[in-house]
Amino acid sequence: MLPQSLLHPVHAAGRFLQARPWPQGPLGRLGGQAAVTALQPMAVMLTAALRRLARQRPDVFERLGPARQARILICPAGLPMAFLVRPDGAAGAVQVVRAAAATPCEARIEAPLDLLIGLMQGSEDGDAAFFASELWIEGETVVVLSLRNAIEEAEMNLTDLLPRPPLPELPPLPRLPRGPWRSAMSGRRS
Amino acid sequence: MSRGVLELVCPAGTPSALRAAVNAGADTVYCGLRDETNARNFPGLNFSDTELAEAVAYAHQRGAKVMVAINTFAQAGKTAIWARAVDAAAAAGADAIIAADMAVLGRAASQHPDVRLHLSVQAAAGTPEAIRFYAERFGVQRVVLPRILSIPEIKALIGEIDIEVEVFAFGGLCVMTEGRCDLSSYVTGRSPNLDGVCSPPEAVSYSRQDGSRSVALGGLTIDRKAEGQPLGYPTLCKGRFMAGGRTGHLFEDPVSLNTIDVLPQLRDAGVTALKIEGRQRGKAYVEAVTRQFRQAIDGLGQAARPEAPDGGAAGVSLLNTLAEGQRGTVGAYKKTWR
Repeated sequence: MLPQSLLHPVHAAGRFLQARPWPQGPLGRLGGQAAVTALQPMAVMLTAALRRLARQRPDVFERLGPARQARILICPAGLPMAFLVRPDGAAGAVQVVRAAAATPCEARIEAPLDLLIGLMQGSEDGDAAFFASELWIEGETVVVLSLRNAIEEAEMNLTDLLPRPPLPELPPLPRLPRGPWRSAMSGRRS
Repeated sequence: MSRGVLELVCPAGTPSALRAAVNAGADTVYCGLRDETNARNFPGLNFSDTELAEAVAYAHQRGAKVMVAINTFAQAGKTAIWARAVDAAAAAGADAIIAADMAVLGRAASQHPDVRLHLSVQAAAGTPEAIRFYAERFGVQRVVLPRILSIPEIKALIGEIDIEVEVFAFGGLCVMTEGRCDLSSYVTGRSPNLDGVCSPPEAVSYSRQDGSRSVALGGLTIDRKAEGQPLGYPTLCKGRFMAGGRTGHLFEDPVSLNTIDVLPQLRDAGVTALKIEGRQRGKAYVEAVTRQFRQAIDGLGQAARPEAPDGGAAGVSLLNTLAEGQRGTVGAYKKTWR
């Protein structure tokens, strides 16, 4: 059976890193900085995807209202890097920053990477994740709520943001439970 | 308006959620416009006039109906906003308007007599006299009952009125008298009744300290729990407070309504429609809950005699994972506390 992590390299990399406690101290800082440096091309791709979405779906960005100007720090739990997003339409930008650094922002969202991706794709429900203590938010709640509702309407997939590199021919993937079904069947979300 | 024994009425905060509900088997979807005329006036949520018209067309093409909630109370000097919303709903081709305020009901009845009128739970009409008044005066064809009645009380009520009854079947519970609750106003200055928001997000803040997580509303801490413990919505009624030397939920536990086990009794009581709460929820919730209730209602229709639908352990577990407090209750439908 092909592991689900091979569906997208971001899944695979995230799971690999999440499965290992990130070292503390100087080694952790050095490793975090290295990860941030290595992911700069991803920041460029995410910024381009954000601006492309702004051109294709202006209605989605209308939903953001004043939150368009906000800096939103999205932190995949257990990973050394975070994503600082300013969803300002065609002027929007995504930066990769060190998770441990004190990055100024108006709102901060923290959850496991799989859950963050599920929320972005609309296969997970943000309120349910919050009730289960898997998702945590800080800062201006109005910014987080605006972003959540705008993303709900965007109907994005991970491949819309980060196209998957071509892979060799593989056997068909087995059907895996998605979204809330996964929690119900596996007993835990991540 | 239904294709089963009970009409399944599902929520949609966005056009994508509406499509998810329709595709998952909703008979009817209810939604609101992007302003204070509906009780889920949260940032980024709801429909523009254009989106509403497109959503109605989408639903109608697939045999589903759309209701528009215009269920806040029109404010003196600002009634034009509510009048515009009524006209916009009618222009979009909505099948029904859900309203509580008499000015809104009057506008709809006089200007758009072809559009069905449903009495919102915000009207808190739970007596035959009150319901008959709305039916006779405004031509209301359905009442959404407050979540404070037991099933025998609902059955008795239905016997005394001539309009359809819709009851809440799943989702967040409100133990206060809806439409008259001032808890949110007391702490934040804004309420679901006039502004369409309970605990407006600009008044909510979360923080972490020393292994615990705190929720504050209007600068007042209303709950604090250890990391990993389930949290509910940041409303005053679900906060935890110290009283009499004990700390606990004084008003209401964070727990969700789930009637999947009492659907036969609700049907036999004469209920017409089941409402799923949650226009503020994501489409993953809408789709999952709609599918579960569609299956349960269809199972009811095929049963030779009333039996509780078997959602199966996975179905129950799924609904609980989506629920506030991670668990369900039949609430007042079985008043075991009396």
